[in-house]
Amino acid sequence: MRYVDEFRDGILAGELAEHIRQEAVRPLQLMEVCGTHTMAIARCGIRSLLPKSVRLISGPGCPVCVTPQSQIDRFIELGRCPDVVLATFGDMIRVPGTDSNLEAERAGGADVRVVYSPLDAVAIAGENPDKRVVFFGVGFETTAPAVALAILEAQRIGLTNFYVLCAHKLIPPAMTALAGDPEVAIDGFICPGHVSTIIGSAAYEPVAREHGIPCVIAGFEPLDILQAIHMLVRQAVDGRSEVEVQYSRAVSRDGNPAAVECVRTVFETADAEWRGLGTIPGSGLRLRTDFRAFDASRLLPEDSAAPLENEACECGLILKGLKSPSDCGAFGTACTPEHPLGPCMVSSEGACAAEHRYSRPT
Amino acid sequence: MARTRSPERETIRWQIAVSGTVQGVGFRPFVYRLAEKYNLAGWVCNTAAGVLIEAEGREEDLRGFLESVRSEAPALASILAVCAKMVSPAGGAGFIIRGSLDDAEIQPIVPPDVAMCADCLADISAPGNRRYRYPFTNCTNCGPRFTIIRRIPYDRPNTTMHAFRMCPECRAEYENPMDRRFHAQPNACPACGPHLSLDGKSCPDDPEVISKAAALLRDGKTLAVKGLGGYHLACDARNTEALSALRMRKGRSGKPLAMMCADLDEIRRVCEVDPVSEALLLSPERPIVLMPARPNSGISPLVAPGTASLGVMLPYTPLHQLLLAESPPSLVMTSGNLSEEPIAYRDEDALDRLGHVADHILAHNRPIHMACDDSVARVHAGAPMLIRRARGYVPRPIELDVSMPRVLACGGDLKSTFCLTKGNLALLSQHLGDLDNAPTLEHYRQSVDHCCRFFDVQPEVIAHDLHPDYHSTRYAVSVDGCRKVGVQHHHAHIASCMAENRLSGPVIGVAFDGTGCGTDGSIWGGEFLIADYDDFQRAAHLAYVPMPGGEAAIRRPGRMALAYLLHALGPSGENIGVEVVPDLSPAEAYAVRAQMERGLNAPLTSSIGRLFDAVSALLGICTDVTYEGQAAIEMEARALKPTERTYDYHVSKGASGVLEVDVRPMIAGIVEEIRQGTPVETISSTFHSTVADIVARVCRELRDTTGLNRVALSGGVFQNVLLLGMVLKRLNDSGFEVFRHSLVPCNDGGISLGQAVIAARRYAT
Amino acid sequence: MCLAIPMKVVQINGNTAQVEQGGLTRSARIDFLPGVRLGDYVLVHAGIAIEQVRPEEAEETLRLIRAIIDEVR
Repeated sequence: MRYVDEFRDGILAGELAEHIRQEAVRPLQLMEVCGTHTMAIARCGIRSLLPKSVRLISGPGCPVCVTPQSQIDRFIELGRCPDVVLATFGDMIRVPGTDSNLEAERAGGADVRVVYSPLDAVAIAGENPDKRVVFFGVGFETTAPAVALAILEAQRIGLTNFYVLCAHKLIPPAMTALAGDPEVAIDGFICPGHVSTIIGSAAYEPVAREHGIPCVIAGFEPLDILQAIHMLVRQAVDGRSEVEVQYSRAVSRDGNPAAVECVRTVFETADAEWRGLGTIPGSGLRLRTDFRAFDASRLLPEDSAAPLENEACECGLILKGLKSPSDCGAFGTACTPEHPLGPCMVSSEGACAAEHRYSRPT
Repeated sequence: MARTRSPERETIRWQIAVSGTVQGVGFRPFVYRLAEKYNLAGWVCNTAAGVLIEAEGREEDLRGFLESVRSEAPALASILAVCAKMVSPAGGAGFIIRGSLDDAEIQPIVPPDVAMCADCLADISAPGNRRYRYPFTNCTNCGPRFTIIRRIPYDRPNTTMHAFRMCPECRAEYENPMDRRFHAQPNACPACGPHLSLDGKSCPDDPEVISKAAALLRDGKTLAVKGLGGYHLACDARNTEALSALRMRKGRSGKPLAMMCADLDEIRRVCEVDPVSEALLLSPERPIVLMPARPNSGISPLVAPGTASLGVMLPYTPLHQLLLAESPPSLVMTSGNLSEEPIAYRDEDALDRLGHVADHILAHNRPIHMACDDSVARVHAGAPMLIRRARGYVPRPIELDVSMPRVLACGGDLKSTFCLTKGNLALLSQHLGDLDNAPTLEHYRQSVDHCCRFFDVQPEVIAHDLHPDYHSTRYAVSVDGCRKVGVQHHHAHIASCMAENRLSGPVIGVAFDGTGCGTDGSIWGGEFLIADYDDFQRAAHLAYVPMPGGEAAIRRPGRMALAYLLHALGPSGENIGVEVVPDLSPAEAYAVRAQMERGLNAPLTSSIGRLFDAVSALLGICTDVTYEGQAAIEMEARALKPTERTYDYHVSKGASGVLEVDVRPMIAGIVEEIRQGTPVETISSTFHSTVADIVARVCRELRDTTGLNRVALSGGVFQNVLLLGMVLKRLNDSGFEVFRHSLVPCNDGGISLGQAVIAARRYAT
Repeated sequence: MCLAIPMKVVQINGNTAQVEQGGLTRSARIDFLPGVRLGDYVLVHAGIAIEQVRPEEAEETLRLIRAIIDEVR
């Protein structure tokens, strides 16, 4: 594959890793905040290439993982109404709510459809005028433009039966919250690749500047990740805290202004609850009043009370990078991909799913 | 051109389920009016689970409606939960009240009976009104509920009013959402409703019947009067001759009789009424309230002999109101039964049992389905405490902090109640009486069956007292297919107090009563327990003393006095006993001493109740007990006022680390003062003060060893407000956090609640 | 979730393009990439093309990696 294979060269990877080993003279804890990075790091065995002094921790980079249980419950609740069709990305299907999940609901008769694009959900709404189609808006800044476009499309064709239950979240506010959390020690951020194509590298400058943490935006192939780690190590050793772009073939300082504008038209920022991190101000999106007609939360009578989370589930601590999957008492025993207790195991990009798939000793 | 959709014109539909006491309290009319106000389409109906609403309209209107449902409910409603969810829009216009749905999941919330409201009083007093002087007037805000419901949901066909077809005017009221009688299930009027009968002769002219009945009462006759929860026996409270005959026929020589007064002014003439008591008297529950009696009010001394209080209630149905308007202003209105039998409520049964007790019978043709005594309350330190929980309070559930398995707790044997649990609610039955006679036991069994069916609770666990011979225990053990849990009597008392106060975690429990089976086979009753719902540890108790003759010592408190004298003063106690205790013959004294020496039929007891009996007999106040607690009640009445003076006593650590309270010095001190001629009133006060001091001192010692600072008080002895006041003061002064009963009786009527919560915990683990 | 692979634009119809990678062709909205042309490589996520891949930057990145490796240790 063009622009992919070149960045997978194993020999170059090994040599890059050797340079990192030489230059990482003091212990460093680097956090990535992108689920695709989590998977890539696990799949390519990056950790095994790094010296012990460089520790990679997985932060809240999986939007599925940080969706609060109550939101999943609300989406499920909507689906229990017979005239409602639920449309969702595939990785939400088995995420546990308080006492059910979408897969179980579907088995129980709810109309749950997996879509690749929110525009597909708009199409379903157009084809089923007697149904109400609700799309579960889960994702970070990479996905929000697609959802905004879908809502504008629905408005353009005059649909009255298309809704979005908005659970979108924003990465930089979460990074700021983690940087300011005294429990969490971060010496550098591996910043998300595709979120950054949208928001641009400038978005991370406040984190680097105000918290003194180096930030490097990385691509997804082994060479991208290793180069980014190398850049972070060098910044740390030099005592710099800047925003650098490793993934320059896709990320610019300004990002994609057209996509950003589209999101701003339809959404506004709001405080949002992140599973495991609590409420982070300004870290989520909600539909603007002009687009209230498409807001699924209007349909529901009330915000559910905070549901009880499974006591054995330690997803919260894992999302903060305070525990690794193997530290969790339920990992691999009570909690497996076939029988997940929490989102970190269910989502294909969750830290626990990744470790279970790629690193568990057999 | 983009067509925009206006969210303001779109309709959303929600289904809202409301649970709690929401039937028979005007809830559906309230919802109807709200729906009109917020311009919503849909419907409301009763279900077995409560009230179900579907409302459709604009989002802002729906949110306003939901908020109003939550916060503006009618005064008699008490909402436990409101659950709303989205459903498919159905369109349509207009809001209606639908017929009830039968649901699978039955919530046991049925409203209690409610005393006549001011509006209905106005109706029956206004000469032009359709219901002028009609004794069965009621509305959405008052009237019979629990006692007439045969099945839920609460709809007319499911009540004992089903046989009465409403006339066109009543039906119009019933169907008009703006009328006060909208969906008032027992709605009736002279044209279509129940009527009175006197001595079996029914008469459609109710006012005439009432006048005749009132005249009979003025004449000094005794009437059996069919009320709301059963029959009463009524006669003029100032007529000693009538009362003497009544007492003889009823077979109750000593127990105080309840009274009903025409109005608050009359009550103020015969009692001292404080503001909290006044509020209780006027409340929708309208219990009998115990208040200090005023001397020289003309009320016969036979009403409540030997006590300083009177138990009085105001009329709570139009029938009583109209009767009291023409009869003597204070009537004895006591439960229609013989001695300890259950209150009569079925007409033939009443005729049978009361026919020779009463001179006449004033009855009516609205059947009573569930017998229910009047409740009895007392006020202490500005707070009400229920002594008997029945009409007006039952079946309001008690909310607990945890969800329970389905438990049937069978209670004790005296003043018995049972308790059913479902979810986080505990349903205490009404007072059922003493189970030691066959009719009451039968009534108890039937009530258990009825309530289990009514509230759809098939128990998984049955809790019972440890006493093997209690009828309630035997009943529990005889039920098939359920796990049985035996609960110690005093542990149940403390757990009941904790549950009512929603406490968790260990407390110092002070359980003082007359009798309860202990785990060592003795008769306990003066116990300090370190307790939580799982378990208890007996940390201290009154030192054991034999009860010569067992039951006989309860009936003849002089024997108990003698036991204490011998225990305190040795053999010389025998002569002192004969000298001091009236009615104690040398022969009886000798027999008692012999019994004690040989240990024959002289079980050991730590009961505070028996200590009270002993002192009461020593003071010559009471030597024959004809009703439970009589000796102590009469002694309380003789105490002058609180004092700080105390007698001596010892607290020592026995074997196994349990503290024992030795009151021999107190007995010696009392005897000394009797011989010196100290007034009985003074000794009684000092005795009460000493008991209070014992409580505080032992609690402080237990706090030192356990670090616990919370004290729970329970047991029938704490019905004694003089003692209670002294105990509270001393405990509060010592810095304790003190918890006591208020809506659940502190006597054995409350232990079923404690048994239930303990059994639930044991079942879970 | 953020998965987006570089795909080549093979056809453009108004605000939709056909994009191809490894034999697989799919459509993608190009509303956010007004200047995109046939033959360009774009990153497609959830049915939307979110950014163009800049070939000269790709080259530069590889060059930088080799430069680090060749650095005297």
